[in-house]
Amino acid sequence: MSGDLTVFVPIGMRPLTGGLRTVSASGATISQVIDDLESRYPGFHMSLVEEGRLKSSLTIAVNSVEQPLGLLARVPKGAEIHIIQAMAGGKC
Amino acid sequence: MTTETKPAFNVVGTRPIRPDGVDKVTGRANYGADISLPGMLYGRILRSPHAHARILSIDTSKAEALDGVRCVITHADLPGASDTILDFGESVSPYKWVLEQTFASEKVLYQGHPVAGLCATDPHIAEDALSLIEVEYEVLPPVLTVHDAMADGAPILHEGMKMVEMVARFVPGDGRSERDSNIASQLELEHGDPAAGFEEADIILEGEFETAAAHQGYIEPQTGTAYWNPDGTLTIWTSSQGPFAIRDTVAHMLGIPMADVKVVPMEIGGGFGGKTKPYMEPAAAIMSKKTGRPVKMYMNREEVLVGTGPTSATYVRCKIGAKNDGTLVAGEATLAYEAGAFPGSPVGAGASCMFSSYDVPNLYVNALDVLTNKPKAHAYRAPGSPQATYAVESLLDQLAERLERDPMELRAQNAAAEGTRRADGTRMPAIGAEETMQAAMDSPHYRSELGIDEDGRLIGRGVSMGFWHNAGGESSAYAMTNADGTVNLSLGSVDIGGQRAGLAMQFAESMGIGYEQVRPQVVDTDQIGFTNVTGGSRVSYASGLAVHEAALDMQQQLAARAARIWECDEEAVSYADGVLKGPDGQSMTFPELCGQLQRTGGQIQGAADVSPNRPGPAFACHIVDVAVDQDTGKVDVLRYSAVQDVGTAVHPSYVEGQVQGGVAQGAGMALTEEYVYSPEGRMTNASLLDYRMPTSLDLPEIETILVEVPNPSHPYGVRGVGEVPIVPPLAAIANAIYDATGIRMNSLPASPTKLLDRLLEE
Repeated sequence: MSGDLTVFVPIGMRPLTGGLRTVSASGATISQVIDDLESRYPGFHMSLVEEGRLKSSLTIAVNSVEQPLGLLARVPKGAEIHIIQAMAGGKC
Repeated sequence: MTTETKPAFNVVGTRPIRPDGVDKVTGRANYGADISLPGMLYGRILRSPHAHARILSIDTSKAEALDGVRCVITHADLPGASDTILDFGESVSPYKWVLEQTFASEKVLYQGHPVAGLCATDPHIAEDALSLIEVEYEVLPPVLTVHDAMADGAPILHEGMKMVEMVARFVPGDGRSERDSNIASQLELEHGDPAAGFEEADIILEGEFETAAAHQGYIEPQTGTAYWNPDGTLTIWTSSQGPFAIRDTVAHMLGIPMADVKVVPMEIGGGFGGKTKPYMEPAAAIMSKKTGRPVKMYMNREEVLVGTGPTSATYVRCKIGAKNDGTLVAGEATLAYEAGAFPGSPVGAGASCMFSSYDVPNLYVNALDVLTNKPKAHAYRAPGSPQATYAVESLLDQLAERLERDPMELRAQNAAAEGTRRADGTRMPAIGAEETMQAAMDSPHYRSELGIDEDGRLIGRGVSMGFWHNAGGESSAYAMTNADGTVNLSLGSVDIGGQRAGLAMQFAESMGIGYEQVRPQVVDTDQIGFTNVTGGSRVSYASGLAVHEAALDMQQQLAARAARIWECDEEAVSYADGVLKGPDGQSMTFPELCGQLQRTGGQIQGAADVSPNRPGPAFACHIVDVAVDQDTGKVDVLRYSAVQDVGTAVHPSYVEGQVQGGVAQGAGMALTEEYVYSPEGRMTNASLLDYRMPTSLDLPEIETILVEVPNPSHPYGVRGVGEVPIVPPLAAIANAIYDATGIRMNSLPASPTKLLDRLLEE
């Protein structure tokens, strides 16, 4: 199943997508989007989620806006989603 | 100078006197070192003289036996490690590393690494007692540069550390090194198709660039005083940018509830990112618990330099590709930043910032966080951006020369705009990069002739852009009415650069009342909701939104009270410009209603706890003229102009001060400031006589031009301003030196010795 969302896959995760730089996805929250990606690209969930929360080393941007709510963040239709490694010293 | 636009606000944009000004200029303000409590003990830290050594034994018996010594502690007195990640606002660190930084367990990893702590009834006794602690070391070879650290066979700082420790790569197993490594982590950013971009380029320029470690240079050394009350609660007095970060870290370390720890923020004598994490507070707390008395700790200047985190020394290899018409088509860079002894350099921020002033459709950045036997690098004003930007802006200078183009026009041709993708693929929001560049090109400085130096020195001009994300995050503000129409405004943000005034101004603007009616104060962690650090250029934006929301909350409650008095529906009452109006022509000013609050239910409090996430990115463009003495290699800055998009200058004087301060610090990184190490890894210039920061005598008046492109996600258009002005000076000055001498300084600082060597070579 694909959806109306565009997920930009960081270099480190591209082995999961067969090298694809972007993939489509669906979901109304980041949590649902990750579940959708996991169903087609196994490994997404364990790469991004730890103890039920987005890994502290990661940030998700929806339409280029970082989401402090993490997995709970709402995702509008047609959104672009970026998975960004947190930046030491630069989380500001 | 400020752009000639009439302020759209009544209070925002004016220049009132800061409420903390009198105390600070008369010496009455209380900083961390001013704390004095009954029965207080004085704590000191024993630090490693070696950059890399195994601890074979620690014998504290002689120190403990000294009359007046009350307590000696080591790593053995710290609680056990866990995998918890601690957040210091401008950086994160695994708890186990925080413990190791507090006191070394098995190895010391840098000169200055704490080994033991003690406290005594007198500071001199404490100092003397340090020499009685006997530590036996097995000295190990140190690694002092990223090149040495990444070389085959390099001594390993952390045995068992593979290539990914702090920030695990996404796919377990992918890309992991099979052997121990001093590369703590790697970050790769990419957008577009870099290979295709370079294929398309008519011109490709490449270079290697290095910068030295530089300290934040705050004048007030770190301090920390702790008192573990008999009831089990802990109070800490400290000069920190992040009282809540200190509270949460210490509570975690000591295994006590956060609610039982109160951190009292003292006035702070500068921080610039360097005071966002605890250094001595945990040790002071443990010793207070052991002795039952308050324990005060403080660093001397040498300890500040060897024992706290400067910014990274860096190596950057950078490549850009352009068309013959000047259009940038590709960029690529490898960054290796020294993290110091523990993971966590600002290389990620450098990677994401370096190309962000421009629209480059194809980018790849490979960022490496590299361990060396030096103090753990810490945040320093726009952490990581100045060093990486220096590389890009130096290459752009070369590109302009190659194409015989004006360097600013070339930059403006490629300026980032709303919608431009950054290296991480995200798009820029509404920004003022183009406006900033245009203002620079229109500036009197840029339009002036360079002239001739009367002393016969070589003179030149350089320019550079700079970018910083700015930040949002959690902030709290509480505002309480008084019967006379004044307001007490409680803030969680520590005041470093005029935050009391700037936030009181925003609150007054939102309430439609006068600035002088608002009395702001920075309160302790028991009196306000969680507030993130004063850092990341976040306070005027995020805490500004907090005071605005608190004002709106207050207005809603005021409307309800007015409705009660006027016996009408609350919804029928409006509030604007400090006046409440009712449905039947009733009117009452804010002070008039405050005078009636006590008989309508009591005074009220407007409160807000916010976590905004749309800070407006900041851009700066700097122009500098320098003179180079051919006989000595000394560089003098003749004229400096800093143009910056500040969104809205809440208090223009403080904004100008922030810009000037950033320029001064960046000029230091460009020209004089560096950590100098012996081959054994000992810092040889650990004093402010030998670690050469610029003084007011070294720099001309720095001209500021404030461009105001409002941030649409803030009611007054506020963007952060404090960090981006440190970004352009490195490249701008290096480019000016090239213009003057024809020598491209690819290694900073361009100290007289280094530049003279190059002049003699030429």
